[in-house]
Amino acid sequence: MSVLDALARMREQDARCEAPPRVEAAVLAAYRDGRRRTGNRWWLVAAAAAVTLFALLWTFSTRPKEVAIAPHRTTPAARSQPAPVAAVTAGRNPGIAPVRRRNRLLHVTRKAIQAPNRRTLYALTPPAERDGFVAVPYAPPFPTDEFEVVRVSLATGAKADVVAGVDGIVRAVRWVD
Amino acid sequence: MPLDQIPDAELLKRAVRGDELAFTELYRRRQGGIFRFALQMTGSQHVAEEVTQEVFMAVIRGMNAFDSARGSVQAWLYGIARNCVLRHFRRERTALPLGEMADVGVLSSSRDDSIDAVRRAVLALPEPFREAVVLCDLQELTYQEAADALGVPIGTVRSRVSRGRGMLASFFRSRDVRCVV
Repeated sequence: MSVLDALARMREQDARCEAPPRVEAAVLAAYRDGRRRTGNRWWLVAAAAAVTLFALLWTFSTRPKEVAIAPHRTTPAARSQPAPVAAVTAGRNPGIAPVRRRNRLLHVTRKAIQAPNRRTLYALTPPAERDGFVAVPYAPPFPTDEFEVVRVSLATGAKADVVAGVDGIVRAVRWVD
Repeated sequence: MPLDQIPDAELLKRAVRGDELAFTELYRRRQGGIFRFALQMTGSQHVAEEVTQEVFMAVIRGMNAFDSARGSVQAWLYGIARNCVLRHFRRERTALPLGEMADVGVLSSSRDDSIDAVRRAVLALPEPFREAVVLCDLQELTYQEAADALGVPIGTVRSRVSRGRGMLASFFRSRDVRCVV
Protein backbone atom coordinates (compact mmCIF):
# COMPACT_ATOMS: atom_id res chain seq x y z
CA MET A 1 0.00 0.00 0.00
CA SER A 2 1.38 3.38 -0.93
CA VAL A 3 1.47 6.49 1.18
CA LEU A 4 -1.24 7.94 -1.05
CA ASP A 5 -3.42 4.89 -0.44
CA ALA A 6 -2.86 5.17 3.30
CA LEU A 7 -3.78 8.84 3.21
CA ALA A 8 -6.85 8.05 1.10
CA ARG A 9 -8.01 5.51 3.68
CA MET A 10 -7.51 8.03 6.42
CA ARG A 11 -9.46 10.57 4.39
CA GLU A 12 -12.32 8.12 3.91
CA GLN A 13 -12.49 7.36 7.59
CA ASP A 14 -12.44 11.03 8.55
CA ALA A 15 -15.06 11.98 5.97
CA ARG A 16 -17.78 11.46 8.55
CA CYS A 17 -16.11 13.70 11.13
CA GLU A 18 -17.90 16.96 11.73
CA ALA A 19 -18.14 19.56 14.42
CA PRO A 20 -20.81 18.67 16.98
CA PRO A 21 -24.13 20.55 16.96
CA ARG A 22 -23.12 22.61 19.98
CA VAL A 23 -20.49 24.34 17.87
CA GLU A 24 -23.10 25.25 15.27
CA ALA A 25 -25.40 26.51 18.00
CA ALA A 26 -22.63 28.67 19.46
CA VAL A 27 -21.62 30.04 16.06
CA LEU A 28 -25.17 30.86 15.02
CA ALA A 29 -25.84 32.50 18.38
CA ALA A 30 -22.75 34.65 17.84
CA TYR A 31 -23.95 35.53 14.36
CA ARG A 32 -27.35 36.59 15.66
CA ASP A 33 -25.72 38.55 18.43
CA GLY A 34 -23.50 40.28 15.90
CA ARG A 35 -26.50 41.19 13.78
CA ARG A 36 -28.30 42.54 16.81
CA ARG A 37 -25.29 44.65 17.74
CA THR A 38 -24.98 45.87 14.21
CA GLY A 39 -28.63 46.82 14.29
CA ASN A 40 -28.11 48.66 17.55
CA ARG A 41 -25.10 50.40 16.10
CA TRP A 42 -27.09 51.60 13.12
CA TRP A 43 -29.73 52.88 15.46
CA LEU A 44 -27.09 54.72 17.47
CA VAL A 45 -25.54 56.16 14.34
CA ALA A 46 -28.94 57.32 13.15
CA ALA A 47 -29.69 58.86 16.53
CA ALA A 48 -26.34 60.60 16.62
CA ALA A 49 -26.91 61.94 13.12
CA ALA A 50 -30.34 63.23 14.10
CA VAL A 51 -28.96 64.96 17.18
CA THR A 52 -26.15 66.51 15.15
CA LEU A 53 -28.60 67.71 12.51
CA PHE A 54 -30.84 69.20 15.16
CA ALA A 55 -27.87 70.94 16.79
CA LEU A 56 -26.78 72.38 13.45
CA LEU A 57 -30.27 73.61 12.65
CA TRP A 58 -30.60 75.14 16.07
CA THR A 59 -27.22 76.80 15.76
CA PHE A 60 -28.03 78.31 12.41
CA SER A 61 -31.47 79.41 13.49
CA THR A 62 -30.03 81.27 16.48
CA ARG A 63 -27.02 82.53 14.62
CA PRO A 64 -26.69 86.30 14.79
CA LYS A 65 -28.06 87.90 11.70
CA GLU A 66 -26.82 90.94 9.94
CA VAL A 67 -27.12 93.99 12.09
CA ALA A 68 -27.45 97.45 10.83
CA ILE A 69 -25.38 100.02 12.59
CA ALA A 70 -24.67 103.37 11.14
CA PRO A 71 -22.37 105.93 12.65
CA HIS A 72 -24.24 108.79 14.07
CA ARG A 73 -23.20 111.96 12.40
CA THR A 74 -23.34 114.58 14.99
CA THR A 75 -24.76 117.96 14.44
CA PRO A 76 -24.47 121.06 16.56
CA ALA A 77 -27.93 120.29 17.85
CA ALA A 78 -26.95 116.81 18.71
CA ARG A 79 -24.01 118.00 20.74
CA SER A 80 -26.32 119.90 23.01
CA GLN A 81 -28.34 116.89 24.00
CA PRO A 82 -27.58 113.21 24.43
CA ALA A 83 -27.95 111.26 21.26
CA PRO A 84 -30.23 108.25 21.24
CA VAL A 85 -28.15 105.20 21.37
CA ALA A 86 -29.52 101.88 20.26
CA ALA A 87 -27.99 98.60 21.06
CA VAL A 88 -27.12 96.50 18.14
CA THR A 89 -29.36 93.52 18.19
CA ALA A 90 -27.86 90.23 17.35
CA GLY A 91 -30.32 87.64 16.20
CA ARG A 92 -32.60 86.66 19.02
CA ASN A 93 -30.32 88.04 21.62
CA PRO A 94 -32.58 88.89 24.52
CA GLY A 95 -32.17 91.74 26.84
CA ILE A 96 -30.86 94.19 24.28
CA ALA A 97 -32.69 97.41 24.34
CA PRO A 98 -31.90 100.91 23.31
CA VAL A 99 -29.81 102.64 25.92
CA ARG A 100 -28.31 105.96 26.40
CA ARG A 101 -24.66 106.39 25.99
CA ARG A 102 -22.47 108.82 27.76
CA ASN A 103 -22.32 112.20 26.18
CA ARG A 104 -18.58 112.37 26.03
CA LEU A 105 -18.62 109.79 23.31
CA LEU A 106 -20.41 112.12 20.92
CA HIS A 107 -17.38 114.30 20.64
CA VAL A 108 -15.19 111.43 19.84
CA THR A 109 -17.62 110.27 17.19
CA ARG A 110 -17.09 113.21 14.94
CA LYS A 111 -13.38 112.85 15.22
CA ALA A 112 -13.69 109.23 14.27
CA ILE A 113 -15.53 110.06 11.08
CA GLN A 114 -13.01 112.65 10.16
CA ALA A 115 -9.99 110.60 11.13
CA PRO A 116 -10.38 106.98 10.35
CA ASN A 117 -7.82 104.45 11.57
CA ARG A 118 -8.06 105.85 15.04
CA ARG A 119 -9.68 103.95 17.80
CA THR A 120 -12.86 105.88 18.29
CA LEU A 121 -16.32 105.61 19.64
CA TYR A 122 -19.39 106.04 17.54
CA ALA A 123 -22.83 106.86 18.56
CA LEU A 124 -25.44 104.66 17.01
CA THR A 125 -28.61 105.81 15.44
CA PRO A 126 -31.99 104.25 15.97
CA PRO A 127 -32.64 100.93 14.21
CA ALA A 128 -34.20 102.53 11.18
CA GLU A 129 -30.92 104.17 10.31
CA ARG A 130 -28.63 101.28 10.90
CA ASP A 131 -26.98 99.84 7.93
CA GLY A 132 -24.19 97.72 6.71
CA PHE A 133 -22.95 95.94 9.83
CA VAL A 134 -22.74 92.20 9.94
CA ALA A 135 -22.79 90.48 13.29
CA VAL A 136 -19.83 88.26 14.07
CA PRO A 137 -21.09 84.70 14.45
CA TYR A 138 -20.86 83.13 17.88
CA ALA A 139 -19.80 86.39 19.49
CA PRO A 140 -21.06 87.12 23.01
CA PRO A 141 -24.30 89.08 23.38
CA PHE A 142 -24.02 92.62 22.26
CA PRO A 143 -23.16 94.99 25.09
CA THR A 144 -26.07 97.18 25.97
CA ASP A 145 -24.31 99.87 27.89
CA GLU A 146 -21.21 100.76 25.98
CA PHE A 147 -19.42 99.69 22.88
CA GLU A 148 -16.84 101.00 20.52
CA VAL A 149 -16.67 101.30 16.76
CA VAL A 150 -13.16 101.18 15.45
CA ARG A 151 -12.21 101.88 11.89
CA VAL A 152 -9.35 99.80 10.70
CA SER A 153 -7.33 99.71 7.52
CA LEU A 154 -6.38 96.33 6.21
CA ALA A 155 -3.18 95.50 4.40
CA THR A 156 -5.13 95.27 1.16
CA GLY A 157 -6.15 98.87 1.52
CA ALA A 158 -9.72 98.06 2.42
CA LYS A 159 -11.25 99.65 5.45
CA ALA A 160 -13.78 98.34 7.88
CA ASP A 161 -15.67 99.50 10.93
CA VAL A 162 -15.57 97.08 13.80
CA VAL A 163 -18.03 97.15 16.68
CA ALA A 164 -16.46 95.93 19.89
CA GLY A 165 -17.62 95.81 23.46
CA VAL A 166 -15.65 97.21 26.31
CA ASP A 167 -14.37 93.68 26.79
CA GLY A 168 -12.57 94.05 23.48
CA ILE A 169 -14.53 91.31 21.75
CA VAL A 170 -15.73 92.21 18.28
CA ARG A 171 -19.49 91.94 17.75
CA ALA A 172 -20.08 93.31 14.25
CA VAL A 173 -18.15 94.40 11.19
CA ARG A 174 -18.93 96.70 8.29
CA TRP A 175 -16.89 97.24 5.19
CA VAL A 176 -16.23 100.82 4.36
CA ASP A 177 -16.20 101.77 0.72
CA MET B 1 -31.97 29.25 -6.61
CA PRO B 2 -31.71 26.80 -3.70
CA LEU B 3 -29.16 27.77 -1.09
CA ASP B 4 -27.13 24.62 -1.61
CA GLN B 5 -26.42 25.66 -5.18
CA ILE B 6 -25.25 29.14 -4.35
CA PRO B 7 -21.48 29.67 -4.44
CA ASP B 8 -19.64 30.33 -1.19
CA ALA B 9 -18.82 33.91 -2.12
CA GLU B 10 -22.47 34.74 -2.70
CA LEU B 11 -23.46 33.09 0.57
CA LEU B 12 -20.85 35.17 2.33
CA LYS B 13 -22.18 38.35 0.72
CA ARG B 14 -25.67 37.52 1.86
CA ALA B 15 -24.41 36.69 5.33
CA VAL B 16 -22.74 40.10 5.48
CA ARG B 17 -26.11 41.64 4.69
CA GLY B 18 -27.64 39.75 7.59
CA ASP B 19 -29.03 36.66 5.86
CA GLU B 20 -28.85 34.05 8.59
CA LEU B 21 -29.92 31.24 6.29
CA ALA B 22 -27.01 32.00 3.98
CA PHE B 23 -24.60 32.04 6.89
CA THR B 24 -26.01 28.77 8.19
CA GLU B 25 -25.64 27.19 4.77
CA LEU B 26 -22.04 28.39 4.53
CA TYR B 27 -21.30 27.05 7.99
CA ARG B 28 -22.83 23.66 7.26
CA ARG B 29 -21.07 23.43 3.94
CA ARG B 30 -17.62 24.22 5.28
CA GLN B 31 -17.54 23.25 8.93
CA GLY B 32 -16.75 19.61 8.20
CA GLY B 33 -13.64 20.41 6.21
CA ILE B 34 -12.42 22.92 8.77
CA PHE B 35 -13.08 20.48 11.60
CA ARG B 36 -11.24 17.66 9.84
CA PHE B 37 -8.34 19.93 8.95
CA ALA B 38 -7.96 20.91 12.59
CA LEU B 39 -8.40 17.31 13.71
CA GLN B 40 -5.77 16.02 11.30
CA MET B 41 -3.40 18.82 12.20
CA THR B 42 -3.74 18.46 15.97
CA GLY B 43 -5.09 14.96 16.53
CA SER B 44 -7.48 16.34 19.12
CA GLN B 45 -11.22 16.41 18.69
CA HIS B 46 -11.54 18.99 21.42
CA VAL B 47 -9.07 21.30 19.72
CA ALA B 48 -10.76 20.70 16.38
CA GLU B 49 -14.07 21.85 17.86
CA GLU B 50 -12.40 24.93 19.30
CA VAL B 51 -10.73 25.75 16.02
CA THR B 52 -13.96 25.30 14.05
CA GLN B 53 -15.75 27.63 16.39
CA GLU B 54 -12.92 30.17 16.33
CA VAL B 55 -12.84 30.15 12.55
CA PHE B 56 -16.49 30.99 12.17
CA MET B 57 -16.36 33.50 15.00
CA ALA B 58 -13.54 35.16 13.11
CA VAL B 59 -15.68 35.06 9.97
CA ILE B 60 -18.50 36.79 11.84
CA ARG B 61 -16.14 39.48 13.08
CA GLY B 62 -14.43 40.03 9.75
CA MET B 63 -16.81 39.05 6.99
CA ASN B 64 -15.86 42.16 5.08
CA ALA B 65 -12.22 41.14 5.11
CA PHE B 66 -12.73 38.50 2.46
CA ASP B 67 -11.09 39.44 -0.81
CA SER B 68 -12.07 37.24 -3.72
CA ALA B 69 -8.96 38.39 -5.59
CA ARG B 70 -6.83 36.55 -3.05
CA GLY B 71 -8.54 33.20 -3.36
CA SER B 72 -11.75 31.32 -2.72
CA VAL B 73 -13.87 31.47 0.40
CA GLN B 74 -12.79 27.91 1.12
CA ALA B 75 -9.11 28.87 0.98
CA TRP B 76 -9.83 31.90 3.15
CA LEU B 77 -11.51 29.71 5.76
CA TYR B 78 -8.63 27.22 5.73
CA GLY B 79 -6.22 30.12 6.11
CA ILE B 80 -8.06 31.27 9.22
CA ALA B 81 -8.16 27.70 10.51
CA ARG B 82 -4.46 27.32 9.93
CA ASN B 83 -3.76 30.46 11.96
CA CYS B 84 -5.95 29.13 14.77
CA VAL B 85 -4.11 25.82 14.72
CA LEU B 86 -0.72 27.51 14.78
CA ARG B 87 -1.87 29.64 17.70
CA HIS B 88 -2.93 26.48 19.44
CA PHE B 89 0.48 24.92 18.81
CA ARG B 90 2.21 27.93 20.25
CA ARG B 91 0.00 27.75 23.32
CA GLU B 92 0.00 24.07 23.92
CA ARG B 93 3.11 22.75 22.19
CA THR B 94 1.20 19.71 21.16
CA ALA B 95 3.26 18.89 18.11
CA LEU B 96 4.66 15.43 18.46
CA PRO B 97 8.27 15.10 17.28
CA LEU B 98 8.81 12.28 14.83
CA GLY B 99 11.43 10.59 16.98
CA GLU B 100 9.14 10.52 19.98
CA MET B 101 6.39 8.63 18.23
CA ALA B 102 5.25 5.48 19.83
CA ASP B 103 5.93 2.29 18.01
CA VAL B 104 3.01 2.24 15.65
CA GLY B 105 2.03 -0.76 13.66
CA VAL B 106 1.55 1.15 10.49
CA LEU B 107 -0.79 -0.49 8.05
CA SER B 108 -1.13 -3.50 10.23
CA SER B 109 -3.80 -6.14 9.84
CA SER B 110 -6.43 -4.13 11.63
CA ARG B 111 -7.80 -1.44 9.38
CA ASP B 112 -8.54 0.95 12.23
CA ASP B 113 -5.15 0.41 13.79
CA SER B 114 -3.43 1.05 10.50
CA ILE B 115 -5.34 4.26 9.94
CA ASP B 116 -4.60 5.32 13.45
CA ALA B 117 -0.95 4.73 12.74
CA VAL B 118 -1.14 6.81 9.57
CA ARG B 119 -2.80 9.52 11.55
CA ARG B 120 -0.02 9.55 14.08
CA ALA B 121 2.57 9.55 11.33
CA VAL B 122 0.90 12.59 9.80
CA LEU B 123 0.81 14.27 13.18
CA ALA B 124 4.51 13.69 13.53
CA LEU B 125 5.35 15.60 10.35
CA PRO B 126 6.87 19.04 10.87
CA GLU B 127 4.13 21.67 10.66
CA PRO B 128 4.89 23.13 7.22
CA PHE B 129 4.83 19.68 5.62
CA ARG B 130 1.93 18.47 7.70
CA GLU B 131 -0.33 21.33 6.70
CA ALA B 132 0.57 20.89 3.05
CA VAL B 133 -0.14 17.14 3.15
CA VAL B 134 -3.35 17.61 5.12
CA LEU B 135 -4.67 20.28 2.79
CA CYS B 136 -3.74 18.61 -0.48
CA ASP B 137 -3.94 14.89 0.27
CA LEU B 138 -6.55 14.75 3.01
CA GLN B 139 -8.71 17.79 2.32
CA GLU B 140 -8.19 17.49 -1.43
CA LEU B 141 -7.60 21.14 -2.03
CA THR B 142 -5.85 22.02 -5.24
CA TYR B 143 -2.29 23.21 -4.97
CA GLN B 144 -3.46 26.70 -5.78
CA GLU B 145 -6.12 26.66 -3.07
CA ALA B 146 -3.59 25.34 -0.57
CA ALA B 147 -1.16 28.05 -1.62
CA ASP B 148 -3.87 30.67 -1.07
CA ALA B 149 -4.70 29.24 2.34
CA LEU B 150 -1.08 29.02 3.45
CA GLY B 151 -0.03 32.28 1.87
CA VAL B 152 2.90 30.74 0.02
CA PRO B 153 3.69 30.25 -3.67
CA ILE B 154 2.21 27.23 -5.37
CA GLY B 155 5.66 25.81 -5.98
CA THR B 156 6.31 25.83 -2.25
CA VAL B 157 3.14 23.84 -1.70
CA ARG B 158 4.13 21.25 -4.31
CA SER B 159 7.53 20.95 -2.74
CA ARG B 160 6.17 20.58 0.79
CA VAL B 161 3.61 17.99 -0.24
CA SER B 162 6.25 15.98 -2.04
CA ARG B 163 8.65 16.17 0.87
CA GLY B 164 5.89 15.38 3.35
CA ARG B 165 4.95 12.26 1.44
CA GLY B 166 8.62 11.33 1.30
CA MET B 167 8.92 11.72 5.07
CA LEU B 168 5.89 9.52 5.60
CA ALA B 169 7.31 6.85 3.27
CA SER B 170 10.65 6.97 5.04
CA PHE B 171 8.96 6.67 8.37
CA PHE B 172 6.88 3.73 7.23
CA ARG B 173 9.98 2.02 5.82
CA SER B 174 11.87 2.56 9.03
CA ARG B 175 9.00 0.82 10.80
CA ASP B 176 9.29 -2.09 8.42
CA VAL B 177 6.06 -1.35 6.66
CA ARG B 178 5.43 -2.03 3.00
CA CYS B 179 4.87 1.40 1.65
CA VAL B 180 5.78 3.00 -1.62
CA VAL B 181 5.43 6.67 -2.47
